[in-house]
Amino acid sequence: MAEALTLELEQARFESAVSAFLRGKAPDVVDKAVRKLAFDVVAETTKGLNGLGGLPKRIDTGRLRAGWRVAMANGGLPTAGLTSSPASKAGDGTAAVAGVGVNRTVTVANRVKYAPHVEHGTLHMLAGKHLERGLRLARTRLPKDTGLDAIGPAMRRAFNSVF
Amino acid sequence: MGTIHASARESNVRARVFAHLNAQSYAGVVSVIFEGDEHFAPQTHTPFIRFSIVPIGETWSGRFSATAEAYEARVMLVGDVFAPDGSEDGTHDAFAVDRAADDVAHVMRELSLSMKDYASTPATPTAVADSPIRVVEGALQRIPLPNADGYRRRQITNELRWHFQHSD
Repeated sequence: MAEALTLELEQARFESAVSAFLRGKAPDVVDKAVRKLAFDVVAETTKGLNGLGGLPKRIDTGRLRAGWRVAMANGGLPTAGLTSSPASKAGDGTAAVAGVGVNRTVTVANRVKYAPHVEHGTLHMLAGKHLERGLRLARTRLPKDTGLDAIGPAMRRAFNSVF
Repeated sequence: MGTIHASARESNVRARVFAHLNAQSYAGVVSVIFEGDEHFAPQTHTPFIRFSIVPIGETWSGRFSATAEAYEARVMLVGDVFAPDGSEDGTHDAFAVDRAADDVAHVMRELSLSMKDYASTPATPTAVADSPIRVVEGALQRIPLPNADGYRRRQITNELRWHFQHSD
């Protein structure tokens, strides 16, 4: 008579292992993801200021565009590919990363005085909407699957590498 | 690469959208202008609305047919409402800008238009099938902006999308 092979899941141990994994790894993952998201928004904004994608080009001294680089650098965020300018002044941009655990907020601000006029337009100048375009594009590129089933494949891969 | 399809001409989208917006009524507004109207000179005591379109981008969305690819294009439609703030003439209604902005938001909120080919026949544009121009639900934004140059300002933004064909 063939013997039956059985598998018993120790629920409590499994959940404890998952919790430990999430506590240890998830905050780093979330931190990296949010920083990258901020960089993507800033990168698309500066592309728009350069006139790429059909947006109105708004570059004269380059100070406004460089303000984003100043901000990212001040906040310890990535700056690869972002353009600097000799017209930049200290305080042209600020950024900060806040939060604990899996809750992270990145705030990036371009403090060049005429930034709102370029973004929203004036009586005589059309709205540029460079930042808003960057935000809309970044939102589109976020992973859309937020259901409970979404974590399953990632967890299986994680445990396969452990056992 | 074949000839450009009418749905792939952004000029057709701009013409269709601006023609529709120009046909609507906005409380207390005398003039409606569109980006590219170079000769408009704002009159200090006169409210007006300025519409413009800002590209977002396009993404490949599969094959349209055996001989054409399909792409989805996205743009922002921006409605700038200007109403006199009384600094030049003190008899103006402080809420006129919001009433006009209400009407602009109403028009822009659920915009859904058929594509038309203005490039081929500007006076009598023909309908282009399978490429409706539609807003993205829930994407409308309305913000007050600081007074400037004698005007109060409101800005309404929404996102439009349509699919266009690109022949192989």
